Amino acid sequence: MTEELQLFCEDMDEQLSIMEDTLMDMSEISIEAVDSEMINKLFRAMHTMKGNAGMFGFDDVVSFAHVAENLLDQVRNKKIVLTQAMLELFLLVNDHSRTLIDVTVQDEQLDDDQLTCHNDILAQLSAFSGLGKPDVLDLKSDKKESEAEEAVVDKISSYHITIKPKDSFFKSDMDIMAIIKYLGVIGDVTNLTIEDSDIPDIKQLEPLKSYLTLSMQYQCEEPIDEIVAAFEFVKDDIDLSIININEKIETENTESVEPAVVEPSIAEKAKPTSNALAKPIKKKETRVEKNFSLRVDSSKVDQLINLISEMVIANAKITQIADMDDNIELLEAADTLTSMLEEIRTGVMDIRMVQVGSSFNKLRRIVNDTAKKLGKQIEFVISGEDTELDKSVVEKISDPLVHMLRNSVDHGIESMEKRIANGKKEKGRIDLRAYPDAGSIVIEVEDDGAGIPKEIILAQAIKNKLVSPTAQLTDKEIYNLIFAAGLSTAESVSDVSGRGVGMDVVKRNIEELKGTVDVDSTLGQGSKITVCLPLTLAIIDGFLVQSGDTKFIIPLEMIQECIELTSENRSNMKNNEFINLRGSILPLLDIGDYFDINRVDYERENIIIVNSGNQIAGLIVHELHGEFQTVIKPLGEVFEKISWISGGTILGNGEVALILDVPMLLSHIV
Amino acid sequence: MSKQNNESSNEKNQYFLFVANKDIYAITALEVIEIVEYQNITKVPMMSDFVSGVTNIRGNLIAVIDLLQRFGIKQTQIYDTTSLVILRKRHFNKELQIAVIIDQVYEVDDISAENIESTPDFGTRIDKYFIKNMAKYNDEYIAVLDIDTVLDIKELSILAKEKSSKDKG
Repeated sequence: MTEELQLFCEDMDEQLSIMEDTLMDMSEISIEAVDSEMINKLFRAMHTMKGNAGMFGFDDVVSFAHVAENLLDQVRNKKIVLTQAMLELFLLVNDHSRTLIDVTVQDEQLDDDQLTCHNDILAQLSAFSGLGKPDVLDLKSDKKESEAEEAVVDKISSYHITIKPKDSFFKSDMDIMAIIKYLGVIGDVTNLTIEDSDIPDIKQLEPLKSYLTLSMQYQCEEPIDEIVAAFEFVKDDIDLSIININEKIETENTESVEPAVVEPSIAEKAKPTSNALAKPIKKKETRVEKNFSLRVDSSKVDQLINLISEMVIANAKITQIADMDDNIELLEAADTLTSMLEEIRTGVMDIRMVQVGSSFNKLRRIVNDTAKKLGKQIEFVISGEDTELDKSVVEKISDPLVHMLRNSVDHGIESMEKRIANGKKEKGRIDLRAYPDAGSIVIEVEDDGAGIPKEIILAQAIKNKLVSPTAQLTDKEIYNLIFAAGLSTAESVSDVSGRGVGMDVVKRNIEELKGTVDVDSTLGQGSKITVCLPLTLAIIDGFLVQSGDTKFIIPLEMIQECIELTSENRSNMKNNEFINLRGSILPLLDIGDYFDINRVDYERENIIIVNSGNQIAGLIVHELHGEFQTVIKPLGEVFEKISWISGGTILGNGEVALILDVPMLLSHIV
Repeated sequence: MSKQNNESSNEKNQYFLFVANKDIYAITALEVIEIVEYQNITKVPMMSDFVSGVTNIRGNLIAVIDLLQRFGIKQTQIYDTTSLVILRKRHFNKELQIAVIIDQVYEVDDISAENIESTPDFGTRIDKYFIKNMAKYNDEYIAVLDIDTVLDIKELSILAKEKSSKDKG
């Protein structure tokens, strides 16, 4: 795929997402409340799509989009009243546009099913816009603009456009044909002729100069500004005249003036790529819609982070040398560099952060569709869309969220009759929330449904031999059984959920992201799934400690406090491995002993009190080095069996410190 | 002080020769990525003796293996000439980098195919398991190491303390 085409696909994707989001917005409020801004938004997205497709000569997409756009235009101009059925149709249009674009880009043809769907949608669209026969696509698909257009639009203006490229036009690297092609998309170009009388005798001819004049008849419904805008990028290189000849339209339309097809040989040869111009225009259109943003391969960002880490290390060496030589100026310079590097690192890290909003919005469609399929009414409320999360985390969390939401819709929210019988509002409610909490991001899915039936879960788990019948489980442990593989409590397996796969995948995916997931539920009132995720996979705030000659990083968010292990504490311990911390027992783990690290004598020992889930423990270490921005690096396959070390990091002096996975370590000891 | 291996025309016959515990060993030069001066190694607890730990090679964490311990001879002593040889090792579809500690770089040289002989069934100083074949070099037989067995990931990753393997359950 060429770069232009790639860009085109990304753009189309964006427009389609805008459309889908808008449609979802519209379907959530009552049909009367839909305001013109929303319809305009739809219209703009459709229009941009049509324009972009036109640039690439994807005529099928253009003509399809055109019909949809026409209907939207009528709605916009209040000629037709928007109905619920129309919204549904536009959702179909949205889906089909995606298919159509995919197929077109792959240079394939629609298969029979898709073709039926295509023609079906067109028929429905035309029915809404009150038109007789739709512009049905046959397999050859060589139709261009739909005839419907002229029937609907009554304010077509006609222009006579003359384009005289200046002598130096070819040096501008612009392609006039691309503009004409574009004009062909928003209107009708007829009688395109090339005036070649200016071409001098072959002896005087300078091949790099332009001698041609293009003239054409042009009909479109856009205002004249729009036509002028099309020439925006070449306006300095051409003499342009656009004459409105509206009154003459009847007469000129009927007679054909001259053979209209023109091979723009010289222009085409002088300009190898016809997309050069298509691109700038396209960009201009989308910029109206959203902020300028870059799409960068994430590995490039990772590469930058790696490089910066190495620079930090190199700089640490400089500092060391400057220190040895007592070179104060060099020391100062290195110091400045250090703080700047830190800023760059934060900046680069920031690039990876994206708002969760856009990926959340996609979920609305899923909730909506699932609910409809199951005949339930659900109010889906999203909050905290502006919460920022590492891009890779956002991507990986989307599938688990889909599972969780489907589950909530299917198992959580009861059927309407049941809800009414239980004195609840007939419309169920699902909340999706995201918010930052102490160095991590919390995502909650809460429903006001039936809650999780403890007994059934437990019975099922025992039946499937997931727990022993004699086991004493707390409520929490029972709820968390829903994440066990092969457990389904739905009375019947639906095609939405209930096959017992899903929630275990959810849990696994989240654990892969170094996150945790937890369920809480009240029978008859609903349940809440809480997912806790690290801000980013690549970097954590760590606390650097040392035991013997080995340095460890403990994730800062795990640490509750640090205290000294005094000799008084020691003697009070009486060979027990715990101390009395303000009236409660704090079990201790000597990292050095546990890991068999060579002992050295230390002046003092410290206890790091870590808090993981419901567990509190004290880790005995010898030296505290302080906070450290930790770039997590994998230790590699050789060390894959050590689960309580989640990776390594490179310290300022090039040494390696090991990152402790505290929850794993604690679960190991117990 | 790093030396890139020189990938010349007859690179298949090229061998990297080094000294460990006064013996000379050979590794196919193609398997060597680079040689760096010995540097700080962070011990990773609970690994087998022959896994010295990890070190930082230009921003990447690389496992370091003590060859002599791997051969069951003794722990490698660190001298001025001690170096780390970074080797490439295929593991499923990935190419891993693993470093081994050597006493000294000896030579990089061509050894033609007729000077390569198969390993005798017994009599070699280190286990035959670690030897790919024997190379005749300056009238001496030296062992060409089999990197696949020396750096067998399955064996390297075994934890020294089996008590810590209970997390599998």
